[in-house]
Amino acid sequence: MSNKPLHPTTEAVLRTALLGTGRDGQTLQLEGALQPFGTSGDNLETALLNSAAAVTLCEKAGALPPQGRAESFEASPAETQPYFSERSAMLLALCMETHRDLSGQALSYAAASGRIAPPPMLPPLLELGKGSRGLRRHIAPILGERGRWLAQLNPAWKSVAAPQSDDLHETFQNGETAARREALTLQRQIEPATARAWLEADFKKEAARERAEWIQVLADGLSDQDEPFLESALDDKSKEVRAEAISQLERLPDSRLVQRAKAELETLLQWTGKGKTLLVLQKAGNLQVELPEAWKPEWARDGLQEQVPPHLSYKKMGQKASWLRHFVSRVPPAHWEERFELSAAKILAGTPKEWQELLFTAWWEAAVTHGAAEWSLALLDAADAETLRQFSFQGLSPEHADALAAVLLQKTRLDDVHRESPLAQLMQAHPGPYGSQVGSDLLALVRGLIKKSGNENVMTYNSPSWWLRMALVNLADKLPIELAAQAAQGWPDDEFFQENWAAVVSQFAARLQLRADLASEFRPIAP
Amino acid sequence: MTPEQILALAPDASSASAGKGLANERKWSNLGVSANAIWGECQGSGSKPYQTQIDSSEPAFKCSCPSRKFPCKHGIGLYLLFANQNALFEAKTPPEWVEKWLESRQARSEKAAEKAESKAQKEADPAQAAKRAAGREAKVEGGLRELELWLHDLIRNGLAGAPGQPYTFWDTMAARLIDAQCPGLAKRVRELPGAAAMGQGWQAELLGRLAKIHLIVEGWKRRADLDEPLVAELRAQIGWTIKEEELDSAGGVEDEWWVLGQRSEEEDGLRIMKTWLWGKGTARPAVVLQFAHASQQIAPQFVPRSRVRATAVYYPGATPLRAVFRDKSDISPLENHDFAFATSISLAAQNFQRALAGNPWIDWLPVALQDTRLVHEEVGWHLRDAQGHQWRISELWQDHWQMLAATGGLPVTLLGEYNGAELRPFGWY
Repeated sequence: MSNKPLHPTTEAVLRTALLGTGRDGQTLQLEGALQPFGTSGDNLETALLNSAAAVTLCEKAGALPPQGRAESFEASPAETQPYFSERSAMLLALCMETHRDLSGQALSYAAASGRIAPPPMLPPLLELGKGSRGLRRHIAPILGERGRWLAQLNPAWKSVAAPQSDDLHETFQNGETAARREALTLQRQIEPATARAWLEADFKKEAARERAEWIQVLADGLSDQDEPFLESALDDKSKEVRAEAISQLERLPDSRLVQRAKAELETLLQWTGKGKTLLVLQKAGNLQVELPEAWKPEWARDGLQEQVPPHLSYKKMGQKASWLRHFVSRVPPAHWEERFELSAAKILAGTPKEWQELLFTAWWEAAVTHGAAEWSLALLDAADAETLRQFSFQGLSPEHADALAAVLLQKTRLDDVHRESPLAQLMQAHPGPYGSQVGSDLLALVRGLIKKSGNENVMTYNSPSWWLRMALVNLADKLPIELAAQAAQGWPDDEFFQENWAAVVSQFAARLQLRADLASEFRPIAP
Repeated sequence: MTPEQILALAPDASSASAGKGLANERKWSNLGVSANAIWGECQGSGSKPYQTQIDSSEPAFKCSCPSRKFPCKHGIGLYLLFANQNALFEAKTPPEWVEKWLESRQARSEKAAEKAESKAQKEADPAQAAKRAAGREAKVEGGLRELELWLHDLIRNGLAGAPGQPYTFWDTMAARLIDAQCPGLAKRVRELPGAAAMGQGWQAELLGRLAKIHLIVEGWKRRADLDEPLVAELRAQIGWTIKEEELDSAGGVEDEWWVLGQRSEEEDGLRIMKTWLWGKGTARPAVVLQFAHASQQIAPQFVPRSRVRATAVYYPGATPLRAVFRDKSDISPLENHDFAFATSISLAAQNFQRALAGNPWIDWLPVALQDTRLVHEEVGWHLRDAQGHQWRISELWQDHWQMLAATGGLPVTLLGEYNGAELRPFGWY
């Protein structure tokens, strides 16, 4: 109403009203059918308000619907793919609304199903794709004709439905930074060598930040074939790129980087005293440790630091000890079994006390990097509590982590579990999902702890209940989905449980069930 | 009922989400269905499952869980499961716990009817009632006199200064009108500063609103000369309310009513749920208003996209629209709908003009528009019909992408409120 030109009569009434009827010489002269209103009532105010009512009404009633100018939209083409079932659609919506971190997983199942999203889900899906680039790959295939049509109408959504080029090389050559990296990642999954060839061809033209990102892409499908390129990257101008190259080379047992570390240790670690005694008893002997004598400048290229790096200096570790530690942490532990012809346990047992902390932590790192499960198990067994605390569980493969968890579960007494205990740390670092046996043992442990948990008036960060709550969240994400049904049942039913645990436990069970439902619901259409 | 309809019953988004998660056969046991009930037992975290039941004739919900939400997630979940996979539900006689509840519901509704009757009898003492009525009329007279003087002052001094008036200037008058038992007028006065502050075009808007208020004052003075519906309209505008039970069923409109839209909004700490219905045979629109405190949930009386046989009893007025519905039966989903009562935009505009001629206080009117599509003009979204006429769409409505997704750009019948300037949709088919 406000932007429309008003009738002259309306203008006249409005003018008088704005100035006020109290001003000298104000009159109200209306024309035509409205004339009587101008003289109605006992005073000018009444006449004006009556006239105003009449003209307002006329303005409103007289408004004719205008003819439009803009083109109307073409209707969307018919769909050629079937929709998700009601239930699938509901699960996907549930993820997008309340379990956003599961959306990626849900969408990847959905995208592989060959089905498309029903219309009401399209606006939220397009909106989600607008905000997160990484999900577009899964969103585009489930949009269907309607979704693509819709995306064309809204500039903000256009790129979500943009045809994902099948030609990854084309995208890699001409795309923007994020798209290039994505194409490289996908190509690496299909043909690792080709991906590396693309990367090498354009490597020098990229900015340092992106060069480092590209080397990270190589982590997936890493092999000895990547070694020459990675070795050459050790001469890169950027420290960030060099560090990234080192962390990949460390994972390749036959890389020159690892071989150089091995060579340095050849004289530093020796085994002495092995042999037979007179009584034909086996004598294990022990490890002889020497420190490197002097700093060699070429070590810097392999990422060593002449000064003790800050994260080790608190140990009052000397320079030379820190170089030794660095080399040991790079060599696959199996090398020592071969070289000394002894088992891991024997080598650890023959390590002099004063070298245990340094060597055990270095071997631990090497065992994690090279997936040497028997070494990490032996280390768990041999290390004292202080050394054990320094073991980090980050970077373990699921199988490796499961093997350690099985041991820790055996060792752990119910009273021992808290936020800082090794088992808790391992659960935190486990990439998930847990193996079936470890998963059900962890579930049993948490059940046991909840059953015996007491009333805590104040729940603090360090209290067992706090950890138990975190553990339930952890299990909801990492338990294998076949345990979902088992996990939902068998909880206590007493008042204490209802008051303190029922809500968290039911959230835990619901999330686990949702993960299970997602996996089973989106089955691909049979060909 | 469809899953969308069921989800619309959820009291909030989290209940809807949780309900979706519970619509899973593995969560339920002893599922059953009878002529007017659906039930099942849901395994929660405890050893004892929750007993959840739905009276499908209403629908009404009951669950043994401790949730205070209504309906709870179990109710929503059970209903969704029924909608998605009704083969899981065995048709049988309800178990005792379901039977008991259905009986108690029956008994309660009979009791409520009795209670209402006895209350009505108590209040029917004619001498008392007449005295009360006379007292209120005197108060209203006083309030209207004061309002008229205030309006005249405003006009005499000129509206140019109105936007600079402090809030108390308007609020004091509104408070006086509350004291004089004219809450309808008080509401209109309280909305005036908003019009004065709206920026471009405020002058015409404010004058228009003042004129409408003044017209109520003038109309009341002449009520002896006016028709009964117009006097009823004036009473409603001033703020006399009529209790539901005072409405006489005799003038009711029996029809097959289509529940076409529903919206819940908050206003002055009050939650209002609006439901729009249309009589299939009579082509009459009706709106049902339910009120609650803003912090409370409203259990809707109707399920959107359904049809019901019922008698609509309209509140009296010049443009009867608000109604209560009695004798509901035969609820079913609205399918295969043919909107014989939908019109073109120009016809709807004419109807609006005619309605305005009979009732100058109309703020909006429900319209049913056929063959319409959304278009996007430079100045925003519009609705265009087959003749190329179009109305601007209110910015309060944000579902245009949802509608485009659902319709794919094909023409639809659209239902909405039209206020003379723009359209606020509440449903499309």
